[in-house]
Amino acid sequence: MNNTFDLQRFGLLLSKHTKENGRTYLLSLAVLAAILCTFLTFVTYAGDGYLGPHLQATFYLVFKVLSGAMFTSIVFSAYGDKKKSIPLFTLPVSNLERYLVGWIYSYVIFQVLYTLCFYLVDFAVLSIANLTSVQKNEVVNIITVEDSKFYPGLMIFTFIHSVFFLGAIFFRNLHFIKTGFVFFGGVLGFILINAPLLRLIFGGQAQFSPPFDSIRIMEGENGMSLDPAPGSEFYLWILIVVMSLILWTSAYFKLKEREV
Amino acid sequence: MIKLSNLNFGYSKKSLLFKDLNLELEVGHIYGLLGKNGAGKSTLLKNMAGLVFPTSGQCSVNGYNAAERRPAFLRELFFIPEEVYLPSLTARGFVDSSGQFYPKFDHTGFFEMLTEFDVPADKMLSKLSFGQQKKVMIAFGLATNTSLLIMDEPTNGLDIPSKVQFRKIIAAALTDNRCIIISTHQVRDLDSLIDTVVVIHDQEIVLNKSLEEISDRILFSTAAHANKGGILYQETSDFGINTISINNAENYSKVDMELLFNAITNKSKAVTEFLN
Repeated sequence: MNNTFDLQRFGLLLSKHTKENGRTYLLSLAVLAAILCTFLTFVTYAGDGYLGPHLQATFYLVFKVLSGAMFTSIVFSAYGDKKKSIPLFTLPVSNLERYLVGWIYSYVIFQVLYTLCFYLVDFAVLSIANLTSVQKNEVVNIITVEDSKFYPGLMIFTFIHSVFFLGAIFFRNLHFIKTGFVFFGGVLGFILINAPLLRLIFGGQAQFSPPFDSIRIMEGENGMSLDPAPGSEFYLWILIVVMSLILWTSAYFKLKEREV
Repeated sequence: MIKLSNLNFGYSKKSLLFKDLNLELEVGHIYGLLGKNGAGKSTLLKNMAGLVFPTSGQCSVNGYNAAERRPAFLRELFFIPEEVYLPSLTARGFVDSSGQFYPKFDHTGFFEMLTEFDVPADKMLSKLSFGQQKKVMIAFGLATNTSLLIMDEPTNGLDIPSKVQFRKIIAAALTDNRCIIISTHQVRDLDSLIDTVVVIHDQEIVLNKSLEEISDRILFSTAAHANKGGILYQETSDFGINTISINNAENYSKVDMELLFNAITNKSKAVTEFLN
């Protein structure tokens, strides 16, 4: 018997999770659709019946990250509830299988369902708008749209997911609020510490600048700006992927160590 | 089956709930785990089920370290907590989604027990009363046919007829390959059910003896029938003075668990010292 991963056992667990939580997830999806519908309708109406492809793509990414963070933060909420966690932890499955069910639901299934939901709402809103608008709308292809931010958006979603995924198992309650507080507190701290750090390195002549971006050094009245080399954002994406992997791994060990 | 070796546990590092606990439990027995409120009965059971981890020492079940929560260990364990949670499914839906994880799950037995407990199989479990939910969990736990069945205060929330049914069903469920542990503070609920008493008191297991051995060695009687020279404990009730005395004459007396429990958890250690 494989005590780490068994495909049949994992399938049973995925099926059990779906049967027991499917109704709640569908209701949440309906709420998401209603929110998307409200926002897209309002913006289309404000734009005289026209919603440009860039705006559609922006909506897609912003709502994906926000709703994804909210959904991810509750995916392990049952493990923080004393009554619910006992049957979950004593069910004969491995910690890896428990973890993967949460990961697949919050990362893979969420993205598929969110994308379907977005396109359904977008298509419906734009079809109605096209009945009266002068400039006809087209449903955006978020991957091929000009100056597409799909892949950077996916990276950001991945990173935010990993943060809220860890928060979902780290905290026992108020997962979204607590994770958000810690995350944004950390980001703020990181930004604030960057300026004194640069001054320390450049002898008090560096001006405030955000992390991983250009720096400006003053010498008397002369200033010099150092911009990142072209293509260097690639390293930033690598860093984000590595950070996400670390956070996902931490979430696994946190789940393994979780007591009732 | 279950072996606790030098187990220390505390919810905070400063105050330990268990100190160097050693205990061995075997299959073929129904153990009654007794202890005062806050003595750590539920926590001890959670240690056995891998739900909490010892600070030091080890708890092994069937050779597996409980804290690792391996599937091979969990498929031979079913834990019925004091407060049960059941999803928004019918009993049939619940068996379909959860029964498959237990290789020896008895579908027919489960529905027979539900009928015996008078619980509807097609009603949403989350809509059932607390007592009915508890009966579903008891029936499910027994139907899993796991070699270790742990029940934390199983009779809480059950009405009097259900308690009688519970005793009957549990007594019938014991086999040579099964170990059943029942924790309770309502000692009378375990009358005629358990065969071994485990008492936890002051961070330690102070008693782990079979009822047979206990009744062989000590006599539960009124003061008039007691072994006058060997009284270990006595307490006054509305009906007179009840005593525990040394059973020199090989008389048989039924173990009065409430009296035994009071004697052990009382400051006097005469009974514990004599039995151990």
